[in-house]
Amino acid sequence: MSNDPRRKVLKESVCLLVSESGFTTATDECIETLVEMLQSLLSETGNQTKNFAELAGRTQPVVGDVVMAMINMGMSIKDLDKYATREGRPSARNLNPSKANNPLQ
Amino acid sequence: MENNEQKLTNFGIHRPKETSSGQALSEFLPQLETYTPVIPDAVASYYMNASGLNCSDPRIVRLISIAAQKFISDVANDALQHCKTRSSATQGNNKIQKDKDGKPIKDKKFTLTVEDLAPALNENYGITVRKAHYFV
Repeated sequence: MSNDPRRKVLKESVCLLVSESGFTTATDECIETLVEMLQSLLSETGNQTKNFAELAGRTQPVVGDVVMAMINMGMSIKDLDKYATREGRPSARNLNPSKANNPLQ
Repeated sequence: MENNEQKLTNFGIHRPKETSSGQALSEFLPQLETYTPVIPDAVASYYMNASGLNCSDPRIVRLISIAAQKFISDVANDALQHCKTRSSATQGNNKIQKDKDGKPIKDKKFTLTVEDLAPALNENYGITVRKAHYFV
């Protein structure tokens, strides 16, 4: 068990996504596996994006580099916008509770 | 006339009319300015910095976080399908589960276990999940 605060945030995100998909409980082992995968995926996408940006002679990446990195890793970018704007996504509902739970304003 | 114009712009190459995924993504990009992903920007950009990517554009960080989120959601959905089929196979169709008062339980509670996660990852992504040999 690590005390890294970033891992705790990732764990929270994974738990939110798992509960959104329909699970009520999850074992610690599974959550830890998914957190490790999420961390690894973020690092690898970053690394690949950097490589594609540098290949084109840039130091700052553009969106095309991210797309190329994702395609190179075999991830589909087709339904990304639909996924991001889906109904009842947790970011809109839960992450800003102060706005929703303030009846006095 | 229109056909002729099309030939000129396409240079004799057949290009399908439907919008490509790249186009859809470029339309989605302006929305990212005000989007809040589940993974905070600071955390995502830390891991990207750690792997060598220096990124000042928050849209790029958010795009990568959304892609990572989608991956986890897809895995969780596949695991849920496995969980459902497994529970229905063990339960069989001869018996409906009932609670204390004898009413049938409609909302089943699902638990994410390695038994569901491992086949979901193995079948769809080719990832084999197992404990390291030193892990007892």
